[in-house]
Amino acid sequence: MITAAVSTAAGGIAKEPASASPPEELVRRMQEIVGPDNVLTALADRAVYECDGFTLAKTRPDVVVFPRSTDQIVAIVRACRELNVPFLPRGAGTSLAGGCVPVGGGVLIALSRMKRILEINVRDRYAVVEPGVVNVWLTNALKPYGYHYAPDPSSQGACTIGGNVATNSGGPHTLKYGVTVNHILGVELVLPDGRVITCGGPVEDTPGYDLTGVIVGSEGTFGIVSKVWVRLTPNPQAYRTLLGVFDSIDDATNTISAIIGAGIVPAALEMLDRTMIQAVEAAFHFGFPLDAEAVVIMEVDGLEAGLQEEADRIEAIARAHRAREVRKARTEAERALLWKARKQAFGTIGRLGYPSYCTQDGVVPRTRLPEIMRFIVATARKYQLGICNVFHAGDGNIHPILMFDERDPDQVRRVLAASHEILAECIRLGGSVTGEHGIGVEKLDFMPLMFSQDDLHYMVRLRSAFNPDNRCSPGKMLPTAGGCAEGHQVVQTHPGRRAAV
Amino acid sequence: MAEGNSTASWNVYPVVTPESVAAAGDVIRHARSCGEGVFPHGGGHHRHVGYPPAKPGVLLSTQHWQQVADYPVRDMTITVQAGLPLARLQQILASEGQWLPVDVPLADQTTLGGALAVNLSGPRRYGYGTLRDYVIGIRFLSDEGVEIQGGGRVVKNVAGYDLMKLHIGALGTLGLITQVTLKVRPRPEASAAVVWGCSEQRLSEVLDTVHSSRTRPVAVEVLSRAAWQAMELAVSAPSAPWLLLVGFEEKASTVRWQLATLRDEIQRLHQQGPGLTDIMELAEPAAIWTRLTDWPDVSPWPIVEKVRVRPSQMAQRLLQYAANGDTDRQTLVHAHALTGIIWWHRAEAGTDHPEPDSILWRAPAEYKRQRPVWGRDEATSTWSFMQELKRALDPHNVFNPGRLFGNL
Repeated sequence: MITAAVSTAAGGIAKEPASASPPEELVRRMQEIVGPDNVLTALADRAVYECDGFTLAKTRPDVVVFPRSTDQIVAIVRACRELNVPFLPRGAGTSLAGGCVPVGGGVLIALSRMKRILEINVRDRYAVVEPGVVNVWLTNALKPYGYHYAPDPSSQGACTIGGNVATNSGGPHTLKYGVTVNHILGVELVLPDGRVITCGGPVEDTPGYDLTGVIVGSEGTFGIVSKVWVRLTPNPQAYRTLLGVFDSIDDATNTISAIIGAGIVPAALEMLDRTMIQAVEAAFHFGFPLDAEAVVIMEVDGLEAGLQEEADRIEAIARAHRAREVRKARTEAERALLWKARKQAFGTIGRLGYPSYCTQDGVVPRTRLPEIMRFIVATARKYQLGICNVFHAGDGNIHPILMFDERDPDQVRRVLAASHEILAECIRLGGSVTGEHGIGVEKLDFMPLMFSQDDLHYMVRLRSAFNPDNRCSPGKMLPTAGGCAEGHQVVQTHPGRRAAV
Repeated sequence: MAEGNSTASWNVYPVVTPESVAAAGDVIRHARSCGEGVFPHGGGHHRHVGYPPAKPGVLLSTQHWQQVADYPVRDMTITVQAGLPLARLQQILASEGQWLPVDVPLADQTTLGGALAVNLSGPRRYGYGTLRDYVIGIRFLSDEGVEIQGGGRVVKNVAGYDLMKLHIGALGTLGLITQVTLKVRPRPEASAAVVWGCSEQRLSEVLDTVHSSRTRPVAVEVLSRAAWQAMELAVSAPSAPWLLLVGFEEKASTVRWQLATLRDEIQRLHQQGPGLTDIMELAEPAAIWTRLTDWPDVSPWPIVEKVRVRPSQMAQRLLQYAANGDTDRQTLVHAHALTGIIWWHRAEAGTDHPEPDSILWRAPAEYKRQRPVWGRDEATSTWSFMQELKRALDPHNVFNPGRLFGNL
């Protein structure tokens, strides 16, 4: 994808998809199923759904439908099968990897109107939700019970549980609590042929294959998830949230490695570099030191007993690694503001004066963080690009943000080349090209670098068991035999502008 | 040792022990070409799970595959070959102050590959989760005899399909696991466990109290008195029909606070009425978790059922077993109470109808023929879909034919 993007961006002309108006028969069938109010057909309406947070790849769907029940989803996919058109699910469209791009057009099944929390059962520690429920709604609904849903991606104010299931989302607190798949007990899946299967559920140890575990993270290529059973987690009794201030990135990353190495399991270890601090401070006036090279948010949580000693150990480790200062959130309000600054960091990048930016999502073994950070700095220099960093340091999950002006084709070329080199370095260091955003269409080119042809062939066999005609979410996750999957069907336009991780 | 599927049925299978993964690939290809089966063979202690083998073939032993491929200690991950016994793995991790926090029965012999295939667990799953929460990378031989890789060696990674989950609990029916990468944890500084007794009348209330406790136990177990006696634990138990065991693992000061807090919470119940005994702290909790973990596989009773219920229904179901039990014998039942897993040990099949949510964990072959081993799940459309998945990924039915789905 990245090479394709370079050539298109250099060419400078973005073409519209061929079909300007959707096929009448398809529209009629969809309207019969969900009613005219739940179908979008106008060009301008459909344009909203041509991409997600990864705006380099765009394809307009032929029609957008909003089902309100599993039965309607079944009818939709059956009609698609009869008419031989592709379809794919979409939650809030916050994917940063093009997971929601309707490659090849067809029907976009927007799940945002299936947004009911169907059941909350604290005694049995689960809730049942429809896929369009926004992540933070669930946690808000659980507040009176003293429970929460643990995965908290930074986009949690917008992203949906269904989308989280598709991409196996992470977030700042995965370090201690795990990612989405560790908190999903079961799913109801509409297979691409219209059959409905229920996998897992509120009772543990379902016999047979762990279909739930295989479906989570399959990026919508196995079917449409129409219902989700999630695990509920009791709220921690207490928190200690510290902010380490460092004069070098090496000291910050070595602190992180030392905390983990000391046998402490923090709830979160999040790092912001100097450039990011400038932007966040301008927006939130938190009081971040503008001359620091890096700050690290270090949080431990759990029972009050013994928590302070753990926080003290972390502080001592940070100071031993030349932290200039270690600040403490003294009130819940201070802690909330710190997390707000962290989670909304991406929204502040506009203040740095670049019209566009592109967020990457690499992973390295956490002890290799100093190396990858040095590599990123060197790459920024090599390509004369602005790069800032805000990321899940405790997991080794980096998010370099490359800033540029999309009107300048040369800058676009340099951004894509730099992204490629950073991700290739992640692989070289023993890591991965995506920790939480997914492969989508963006990273298809990297799959052959991480997996052998045999591995990829096996993954195609697995997908074919669920989705034999590849009608559901085509062109995602797995490259086609040629290496770059269905690239010709994606219209490359402008590089990305927005993001939230 | 337990031989649910009769020993005779396994004795006819020759054992092959390839030195290399490539040689095992040849065995698989050969078996496929002559229509035979390959039965992955680790510690050999869990052949009683599932249906008997449905084809001739070979037992493919992973005993030569015990190497540690990579252990970057400070990254808290380890990559090992699948034939490594769990106890050996834990020893290696312990030398660095780390562990895999999953209870695996008969850990001296049970291999990592076998533990994954059967998805083994024990009491502490309540606090730590199960194997699926710790496996971040896998290699396995496919039906084509080719080694396939899924996941990687970093703790966070969403590239490609989750082939790790595909194999956990698959009973070796989708491939032969060759290598596994795990994320591991620091060993807790302290651990402790308490026991107290409870009457039938107050069991439900006690479990509700532990559920809503301010403490965060790693294990909450309930045992009938008969089960406790049969296990011959080296500690004396309070005299009561039901026993509760709760474990804590954390920093020392956190464990101390939890012991005191739970004691207060139970004491308050104690004051509200009869039926509870005082809480006693147990020495050597690790030995107790081991015994509870092993028991379903080693108890002398010929039939062991694994019953899956919602945790809120636990007390009611346990009491039901007690009420229906033979009056001459006490009911042998123990449970991961807040996880919803009941282990029911039986001397004979009896006339009572098995519950539809019960898995026949261990039983004589003739009893297994009388009812679905996996319970009511076998009647669902999801079960049919699993069979389709098996056919797609192992069309010649090479891996453990018959074991999961019976004679297809």
